[in-house]
Amino acid sequence: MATKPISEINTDYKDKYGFNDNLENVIDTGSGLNEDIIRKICTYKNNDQWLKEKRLAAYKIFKSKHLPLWGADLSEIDLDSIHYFVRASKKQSKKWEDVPETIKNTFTKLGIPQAERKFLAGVSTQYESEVIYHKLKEHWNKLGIIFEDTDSAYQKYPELFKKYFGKAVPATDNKFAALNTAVWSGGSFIYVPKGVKIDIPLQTYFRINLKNMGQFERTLIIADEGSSIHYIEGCTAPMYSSDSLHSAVVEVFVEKEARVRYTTIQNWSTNVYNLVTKRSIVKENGIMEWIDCNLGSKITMKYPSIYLVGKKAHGEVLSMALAGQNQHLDAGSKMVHSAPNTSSIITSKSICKNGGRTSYRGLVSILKGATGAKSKVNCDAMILDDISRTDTYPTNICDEESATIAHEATVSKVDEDQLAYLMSRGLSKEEANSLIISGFIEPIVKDLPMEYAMEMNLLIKMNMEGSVG
Amino acid sequence: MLKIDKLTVQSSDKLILKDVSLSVKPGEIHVLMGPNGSGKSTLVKTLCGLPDYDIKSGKISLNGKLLNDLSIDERSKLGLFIAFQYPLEVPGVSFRNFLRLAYNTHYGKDKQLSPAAFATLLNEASEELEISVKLLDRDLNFNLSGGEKKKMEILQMMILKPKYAILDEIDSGLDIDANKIIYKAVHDLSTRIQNTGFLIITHYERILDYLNPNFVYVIKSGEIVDSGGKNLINNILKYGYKTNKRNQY
Amino acid sequence: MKSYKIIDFTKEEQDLDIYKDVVFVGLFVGRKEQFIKSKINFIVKKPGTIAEIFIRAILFDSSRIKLDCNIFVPKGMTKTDAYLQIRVLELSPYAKTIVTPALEICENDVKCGHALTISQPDPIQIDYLKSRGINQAEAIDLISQGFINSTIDLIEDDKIKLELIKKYSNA
Repeated sequence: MATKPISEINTDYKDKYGFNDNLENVIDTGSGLNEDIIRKICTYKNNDQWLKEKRLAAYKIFKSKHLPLWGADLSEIDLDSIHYFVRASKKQSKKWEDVPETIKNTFTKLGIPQAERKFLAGVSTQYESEVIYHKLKEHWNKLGIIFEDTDSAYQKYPELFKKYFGKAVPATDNKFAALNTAVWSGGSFIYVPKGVKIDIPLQTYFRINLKNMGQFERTLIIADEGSSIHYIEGCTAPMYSSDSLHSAVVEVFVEKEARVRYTTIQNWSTNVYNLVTKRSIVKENGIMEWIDCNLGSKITMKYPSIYLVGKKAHGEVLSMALAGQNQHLDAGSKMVHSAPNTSSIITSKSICKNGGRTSYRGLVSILKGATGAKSKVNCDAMILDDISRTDTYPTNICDEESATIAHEATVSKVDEDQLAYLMSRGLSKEEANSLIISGFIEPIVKDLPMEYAMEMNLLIKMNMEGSVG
Repeated sequence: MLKIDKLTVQSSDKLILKDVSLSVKPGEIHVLMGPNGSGKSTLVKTLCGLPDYDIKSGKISLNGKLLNDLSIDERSKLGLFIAFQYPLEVPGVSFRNFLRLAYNTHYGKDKQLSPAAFATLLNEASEELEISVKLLDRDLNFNLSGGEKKKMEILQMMILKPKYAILDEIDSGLDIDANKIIYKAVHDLSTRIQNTGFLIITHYERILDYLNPNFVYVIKSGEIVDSGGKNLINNILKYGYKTNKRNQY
Repeated sequence: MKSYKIIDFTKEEQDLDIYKDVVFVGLFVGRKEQFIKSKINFIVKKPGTIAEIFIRAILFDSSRIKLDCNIFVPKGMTKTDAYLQIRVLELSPYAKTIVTPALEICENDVKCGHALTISQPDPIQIDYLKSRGINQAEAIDLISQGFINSTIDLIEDDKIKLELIKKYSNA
């Protein structure tokens, strides 16, 4: 349980997550986007013809696509005022000692050295669209594991890169996937060779620092046959009054018998638009797990997807959302079964309070030929007051008679009888409330690494203060 | 003293308890018996402080402090414990964490007990009650049989050491061995451990095999119709609840 | 006494207001190339109401169903207890189901939920019938008829029940 008194935690949070460094940015393409700016980006990054063509083609697609007609309200995003490429430090470091001091302070505040000390394999950290600090331990190098920032990976491993880039999420997928394909910078590129199982989670931290800064990292994870990896992504951003756009693309390829778990804890400040496309393609007997925790941002639209293309492939999504004042978290999942005996489980837990809005948006699609496929969805929502709103929009498509789809959803408030029972043991109403809500999201939190689980419970407790009626 | 003084309680526009009076001193064991629907569970819920039960008149006080307007947790902190007839499941909430939090609320003013220290305390108490350690690792009341849930209520009671405890049909649904263990715990708590005063609601006479009640009440249609020493229990079991005047047994 | 209403799937879009305790029952038996495309909005209009919605579909041949069901609980509709249950039985490789049971809840003192199952007849049930000498086709017939009958039995109002019986018994 909590080890700090509540009052301390609040100040700590603002200090820990709400700051920004006043660093002069070395390269900044200015506001707005056009073909010239894209060419400039290619020059700054030393991108060759292949990548340049991809970016320009994607830009055309971006211009031709409309904003989605469903989901959250994106009408207030001013795409012309965003700075699409900013670089803060020219050199990419491999050693902690080489990282510039101001940037180091940021990382210290984010707790990276601690994490490094503990048990992480390597830390890849992004700052202002570029990966400044990147460290890969020799141990992993020896095993043939590639853990680079995406830009460097393209330079070093072009064939591998071209084999997978855009294969899960093509530019044509949606407007923001096209945008990302045009201006992407940074992100992680991970390749795990056949049979290699990484038992320690790999992590990334990144943050938006500049006003109107867009974040367009592109992450690719390739788990070759029989391998296994757990990747964790936790991000924060300082609080600003004008809007920030975060539009990442994550593509995960799970080859035969491989296993990937991708955990995201998102706690963006409440001026950020978080529009992310995450997709995984899973082959025979492979397993893919998305663990998605959404706490911050003004608007999030994120539907981690899994395409089960090989027989007996299995996909799981654990999704959590906590929306407070002025937040709309529209999250969910997409599962597509196109092979026999595939299985999927989606568990979604959401809480809304203080006028916040959570929406679960899901799609389970069983295509013809996916004989014996099984899918199970459980969405539970808690709505804590009468000014908040929760929605559930689960679409289920079944085109294969031997398949089974089961779906259940509930919406309720904190159970009065449970509250009374806990209070009858001396717990205050706040404590009882907090405990019940922690218990509500426990199925998701129990799959987070311990330090994140504790942080999550703490954040929930903080968030719950003042929400007891 | 836990004093219930001329308590009249209404729920959903119906008068359920009428002028109920009883009082329990520290270390005393009082027994309440009555047919189904007589108002026993209403009395328990009113003492707990659950909503939907309006005290129309009368007072509940614990060691001189008036409980009528106090919240459920305030009453608990003053030293009142209730072992419920049908304990609730609270999913996702670990039993250990919950009980440690409750314990620290009651006793942790100067020093909060760490998880390790609490585990020692809990393990000892559960051993006494012959409760398997495995049950301690479950979520609160999750996947437990009716009998196991009741034992866990008693475990909570032994850890929280209340001044007054109300046991609502703690012996129904338990086998002889489990009953023995629970009544021994009650005896220990009422004497050497804490001098806890008990109000035990039961249908069965086997309580007499283990405890020496100081007082017995009979409730019927919301009113206390009879009271006396422990012999009253034998009479009820012989003649039932049919009569309500002492002389007509 | 609860009020019972039969859902009409022939309408492409409809609003069904809920202002008293009600049980809605909808049944679709799809044969040949029949299909339904229907969007139904259940809107709670009075606090404290209990609404149960049962939708069952059994798809033979190349029949299809595209269903959007939304339960909308506006602010102020406290103590609403609304539950939607959809069950689709697919009996042919050419049948197709697209169902979106949605919930839009703007009031917290409520209990709402829905459950959906899309599947073929339970193989264990089929085997049990076969163990009594019934063949595959007959077993499926029995199960299908049982599915339809149990749906009709959800209605406790005899007059309304008769409507469904006329339409679907021996369908």
